[in-house]
Amino acid sequence: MKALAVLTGDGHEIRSRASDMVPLLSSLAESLSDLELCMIYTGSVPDRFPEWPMALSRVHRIQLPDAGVPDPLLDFISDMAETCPKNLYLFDGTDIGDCLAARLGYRLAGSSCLQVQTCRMTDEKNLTSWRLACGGHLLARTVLEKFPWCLSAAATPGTALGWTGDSGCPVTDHPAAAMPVQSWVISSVSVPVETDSPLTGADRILVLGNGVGSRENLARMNPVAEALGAQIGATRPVVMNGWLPMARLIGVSGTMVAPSLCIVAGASGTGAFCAGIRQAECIVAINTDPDAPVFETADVGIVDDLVPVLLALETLIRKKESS
Amino acid sequence: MKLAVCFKTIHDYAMVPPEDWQMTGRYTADPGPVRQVFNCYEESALEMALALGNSPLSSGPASKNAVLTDSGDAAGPPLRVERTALTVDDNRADLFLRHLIAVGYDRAVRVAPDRDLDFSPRTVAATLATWITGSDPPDLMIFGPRGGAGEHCQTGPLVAEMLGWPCLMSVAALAFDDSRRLRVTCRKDRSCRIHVVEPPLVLVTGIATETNRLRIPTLKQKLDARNRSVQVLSLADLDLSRFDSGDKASSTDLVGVPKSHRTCTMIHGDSPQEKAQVLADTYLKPEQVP
Repeated sequence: MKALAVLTGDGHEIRSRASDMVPLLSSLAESLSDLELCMIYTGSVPDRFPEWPMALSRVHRIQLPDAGVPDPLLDFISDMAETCPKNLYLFDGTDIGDCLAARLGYRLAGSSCLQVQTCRMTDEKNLTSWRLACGGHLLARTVLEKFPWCLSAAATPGTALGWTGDSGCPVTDHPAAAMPVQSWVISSVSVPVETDSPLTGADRILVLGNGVGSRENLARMNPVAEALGAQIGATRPVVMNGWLPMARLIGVSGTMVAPSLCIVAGASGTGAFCAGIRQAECIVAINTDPDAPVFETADVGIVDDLVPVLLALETLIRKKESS
Repeated sequence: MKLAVCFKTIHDYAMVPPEDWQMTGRYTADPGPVRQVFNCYEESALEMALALGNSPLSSGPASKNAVLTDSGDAAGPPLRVERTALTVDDNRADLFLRHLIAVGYDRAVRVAPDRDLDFSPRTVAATLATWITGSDPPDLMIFGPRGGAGEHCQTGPLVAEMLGWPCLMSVAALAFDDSRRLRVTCRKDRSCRIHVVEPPLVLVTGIATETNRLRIPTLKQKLDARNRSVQVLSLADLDLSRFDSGDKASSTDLVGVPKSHRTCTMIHGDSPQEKAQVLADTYLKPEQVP
């Protein structure tokens, strides 16, 4: 089987996304006869490469003229598919990777499955993949029956792949000039944003869900987090309410975390959120609903209102500090 | 400008305890008597479209000649936006479509499927693409990123591919600039780009930059909406042959509950203080607290 892995994104992100793809490629290793890698970039040419655990036959460095506009990249890869077809196109699980996997599968009359967690060959012609569905509460199994298979890899917490200056194989450069002009884009500018999530690498995290109830209650949790030495994280409803910024969002659409202690308060525990804290060493869940799914993913549970429990916890910690 | 937002209601899965899935051993996207809700991503998309329609440069339902001018000249009549809410769903969606009419959508359209399409992204996309290419096509199609219960994440990109339209992902905000052109803000974890674009195109939302809960209609708006109907089409009303709706490319079934590797120990007590004490003494070791 011939495969092409496509990595979008820059810097640290590209290494994390690469590590998401490695388990999928490893599970297909016996069937892989040839693996090429595309590294997409928009700024300067990357001079380092992710340390792939499997041999690459070629690396393509492809310059995208406009970050966030995947259309020229899709045209470029489909042109590559005509001259050098592959059985498998594996994209990273970014929004751009998802977009490319879905569109390329249709364009090449193949089959697509996105946000894949695991996969394996079921026979010579079929690839079976597993991913989350129904709010992350169920596992969906998809059998892809038509070549080429176009997948995107779900984000998983864990160590990013290392960098190396040696690709170990020939490298081909494709400058942006080779890309078709997108006349529908009149202008495009980059706007500075907070670059690092405060949650990345945090050793303790206090995650607040919709059960916190109000912006005022949320403000009362700041001293609790301070006493715990924890960063505050949020579930999607809290971010949607505008109570905390997006940089605090935990889950598959936010930050995937791996702290030693994660206190989850007032969150029901949707699958998309729980996937984001799965790698925590110890998870403490606090919820008024004893049937809340969050207790299924926790090590320790408290059925109660989060506010008095956490305020009492803060008092205890302060007392210990002063004594 | 004409825009259409595609959505699909889902069950509120957070209300279904895990043991309910496990007890029945029957894994289905329809867990029974659980309330239907807007998918939060699509709720964000629906509100984003309303906010665009209410921007200072826009007003009222659109006419054909209200499409953005090539000149980019700010002069001329206000830019009018016509909003359509579109779903491929059974009649449980009608309540939600009425809500959308009440809060400001000009048109609500439901295509009734002849079978469950939660895991048939290409059929859904072909249905939507066929509707779009009908007699009064929109300039802008807006989607949430995940799709319905199947969460295949493919609908928006597939519609773009079928129509040959460009597609922008992770859309966080929409606005018209001073020259009455569409300004699309795309935001991801570590980057944000603002594109000024010329429709037609497909937009797939991400996490919005503004508060994005769908607005609640007033009682008067609700009463007014009762007099306006939801347009219901069947698949037979649409000629899907133009696009490859072949979901024979893949087949999907639900096979189980994701495994948890943890066992939860519950802390009991008569008061929150007692429970906090047990938590601090037993699980928050001194070395864990700064």
